[in-house]
Amino acid sequence: MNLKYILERMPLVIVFGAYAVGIVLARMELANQLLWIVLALVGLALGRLPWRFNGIGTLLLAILALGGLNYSHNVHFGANHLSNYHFTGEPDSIRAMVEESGINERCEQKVRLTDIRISHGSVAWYAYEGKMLLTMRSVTPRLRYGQEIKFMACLREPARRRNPGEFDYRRYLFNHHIFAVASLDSNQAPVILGQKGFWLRRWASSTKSGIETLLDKGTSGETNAILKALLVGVKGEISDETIQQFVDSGVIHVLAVSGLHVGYVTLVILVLLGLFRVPRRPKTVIAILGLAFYALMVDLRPSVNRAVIMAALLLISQAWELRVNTYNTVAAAAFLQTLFNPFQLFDMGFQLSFLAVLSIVFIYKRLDEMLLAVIKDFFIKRPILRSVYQLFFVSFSALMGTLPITIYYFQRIPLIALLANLIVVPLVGVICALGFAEVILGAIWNEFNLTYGAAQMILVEGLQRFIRFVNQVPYSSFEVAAISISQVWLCYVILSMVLFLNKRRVRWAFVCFLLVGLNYWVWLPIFNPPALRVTFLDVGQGDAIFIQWPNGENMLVDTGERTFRRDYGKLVIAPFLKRQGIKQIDLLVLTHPHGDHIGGAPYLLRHFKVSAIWQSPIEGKSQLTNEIAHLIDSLNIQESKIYAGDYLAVGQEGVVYALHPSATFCAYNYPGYNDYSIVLKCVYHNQTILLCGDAEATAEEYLEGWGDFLQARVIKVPHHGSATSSTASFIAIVKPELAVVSVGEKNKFDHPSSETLSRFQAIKAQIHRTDQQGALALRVTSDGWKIQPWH
Amino acid sequence: MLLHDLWEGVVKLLFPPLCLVCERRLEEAGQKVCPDCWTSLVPFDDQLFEQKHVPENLTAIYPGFIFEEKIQTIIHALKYRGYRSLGFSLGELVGSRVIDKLPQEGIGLVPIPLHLLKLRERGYNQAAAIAEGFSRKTGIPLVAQAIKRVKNTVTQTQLSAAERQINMEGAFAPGRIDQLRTIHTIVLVDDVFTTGATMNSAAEILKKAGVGTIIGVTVAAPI
Repeated sequence: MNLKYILERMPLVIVFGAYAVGIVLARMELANQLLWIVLALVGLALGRLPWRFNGIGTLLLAILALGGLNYSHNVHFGANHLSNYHFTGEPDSIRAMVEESGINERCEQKVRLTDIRISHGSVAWYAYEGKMLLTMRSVTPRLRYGQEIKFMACLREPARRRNPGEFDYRRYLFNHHIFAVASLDSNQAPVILGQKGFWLRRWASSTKSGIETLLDKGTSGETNAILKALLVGVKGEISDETIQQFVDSGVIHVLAVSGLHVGYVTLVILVLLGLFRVPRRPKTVIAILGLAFYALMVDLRPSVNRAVIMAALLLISQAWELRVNTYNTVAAAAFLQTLFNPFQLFDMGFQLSFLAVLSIVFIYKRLDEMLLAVIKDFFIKRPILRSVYQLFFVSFSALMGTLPITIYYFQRIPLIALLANLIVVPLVGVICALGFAEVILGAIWNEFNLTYGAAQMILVEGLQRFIRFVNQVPYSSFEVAAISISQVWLCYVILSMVLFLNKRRVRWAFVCFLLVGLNYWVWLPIFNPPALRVTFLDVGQGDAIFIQWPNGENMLVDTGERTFRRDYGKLVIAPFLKRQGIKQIDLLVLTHPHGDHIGGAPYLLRHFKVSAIWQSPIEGKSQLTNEIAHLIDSLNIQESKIYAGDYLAVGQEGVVYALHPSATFCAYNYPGYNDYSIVLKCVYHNQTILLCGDAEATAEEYLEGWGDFLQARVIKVPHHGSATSSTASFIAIVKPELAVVSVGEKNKFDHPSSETLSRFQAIKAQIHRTDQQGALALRVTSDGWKIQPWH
Repeated sequence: MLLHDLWEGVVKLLFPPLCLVCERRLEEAGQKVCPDCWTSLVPFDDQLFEQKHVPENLTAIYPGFIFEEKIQTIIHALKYRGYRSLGFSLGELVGSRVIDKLPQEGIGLVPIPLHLLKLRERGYNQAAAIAEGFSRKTGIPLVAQAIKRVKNTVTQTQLSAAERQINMEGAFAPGRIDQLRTIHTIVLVDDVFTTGATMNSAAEILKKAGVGTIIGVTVAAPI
């Protein structure tokens, strides 16, 4: 296996490799546009010279530069680009063309718009490059590709990532060339002005809605939603819960329109054309056009593009007697797609789709070679067992090959997928086949549609039941901690070594690799001393502080808010903990019974093992506090009312002191709960962090009684930086170097007050506001505290 | 010219041209098997012709090459991988080898037909492709559809000689026999000659139709 061998058999693998490296380097901003151009020219020029530089190396350099150039060209925005739009927060008149539109289970229409023109109150329309995403809270009018619409809305910047490891929505939209978002309420319908765009895609789009209407007539409910996803890639109508079940059991891949569907479409077209005795080459051309139409119909998703390009190359090779190489074909599909949109390389669907195909081709082959002949013989000789054997190892290969990025994106190992696929894949095959028959025959005669629909209801129900059953199997899937991109790469290096363990040189490399790895593991703690890690999570208007002690114990102080629309426990805290593989909270502190501090608690109590709870002595009287009390009771969690002077030692170096409220303070009847907040002082070595809950001036006055014991390097500013907290005398005693204000953007209380902030500025404390800067991650060692960048 | 080069380059990138037999890079466009592999095929020489057992209904049998790994790969590609043009090349090669053994006058080529179902499935008849190449080289006219296949026989690779005989019984029927009036010698064309069951069965129909001499020509045969 040398370079020449690969170049002769699968030249595009090398070409795409160089191109992809170029894209990744450009993503890392290693060179700017000009440099890429120079590099490309140098490569080309050297390649033209007749002497020693003439070779594949220089050409690959040019291709690498092409990748870099293509990427940086796509992120180099002119003045009329949406990313340079001045987001004022005022409504504008917007005209745009619909590129794609889908309805989700909350009956919202998500519309991707392109060709955007904006009028800023005046008559003139300014054209903008880039796309935007419009969320309509109504499903009518049902928008389709090619429609030009006009509406009034506030353009907003896509939300940034606010907490470490959180899904980066802005980046995700960026990868799809979307740079602005807006929403319309149910009473604001856009005006449809006319038709634009590519006629064939308009046609494909209307065919798609025709098929959707057909399916609506034949089936209903979740079956209908799943069928739409399986046949025309409309995934939005499936409930989040069902999607999660598909993810958990590792069969989510069947919901992506891909090879299976393309196979069926090809088959249908070829059979139909065969009936009319169309010769081979015209038949191939028509089949490829049909496939392109199908790809347009399902909105050019990466998985379907991949399958269509691969199928087209295969068909051409057969009709024109050309050789194909699977790896070369896969590379061709990847190259072609990233040539049009280099961002696709970073799209989850793209990565999963290509990795799955490569794994099935490559790992399956390797496994087949490495498996014992005895086992193989046993299965191969029995036709039924043979297909089970093949399906099992295909699904095993796909699972192995995609596992690192599955963990990266989903933090989950769907072990049951190995078995689930044995049933789900054939079943989906049958459902798709019937579905295509239903659509074609149903378009001719409605009775067919209804009959097939009834059959489909049973099959899809069966599929769902099976997946639900699979999810109940114990240990069907494991939740694991998130891994970084470098760890993903590491996984692939190890995987490829394991696959070639029968080669002597690889075995040696593997042993060396393991030794280096073990040494790294042994030496790591020495170069990386133990530290206290404190994360002030951004939970909007509210508090949630997660503390991990070096001995592995952890505590969570407050849990953010729960409103009708969002539960921060579920939205922010739980995913944050899960990404780190944390399933148990050793100590949950609820500083005082206000919604913005305890709202997330019920969700966390239900989904994590909470060992102990500290609560303020003051009893809350709300539905929320009742719910929490009930949960604590039924889950049998050790609960304590905390008074000043209580403390907890953590490991050798850590102590948590409760400084407030004292029993005497509780004897008085101060108004509200805030002043009864638990105030904690966390000490690690000689470093101190003061967490003040929502304490106000009254409580602070009491706290001042602790004198120098109050001193802290980091303070969680009391009561979200309210004007009635953080009195000058109080902070003069605390003397913080860093003041963290946990507060929501544009909150109705106008927190934090500018006076409070200026009081902190006066003592030269560094201020971090979660509303402006998102979450704050701190690393505290005996030497001091350090902000850990996570953006 | 530049555009043409570019186009060829793109095609070569998408479909790397490799020899079907030795998997080495092909230099010229349109090649399927490299010249080295073509010349390395082992011819079926005169001595071997004499040793070959000739089935009852045939006068003589002339295979072009000895059936070994390389020719097997080529025939496999022709039959199962859609490389129809290999049939023409093989026909021409075999034609040039056996042309001097055939009479010049009153002669016609009949490819062993495929059953209609098989033909639909494969898209073409490989024997017809070979016959076409053969005809091009030797100038012997094709007598298309003189016989037809009426039985969709199972593949013979796993069958014994006796089983093949039974399998082939009644496999063929006369087609447009009227074309044979002026023809005294028929060359039956097929890909591989193993036991001769197929050839014999087809020759029987032709014999009944009054053809005097029937010669079998195949691309290859085992020794």
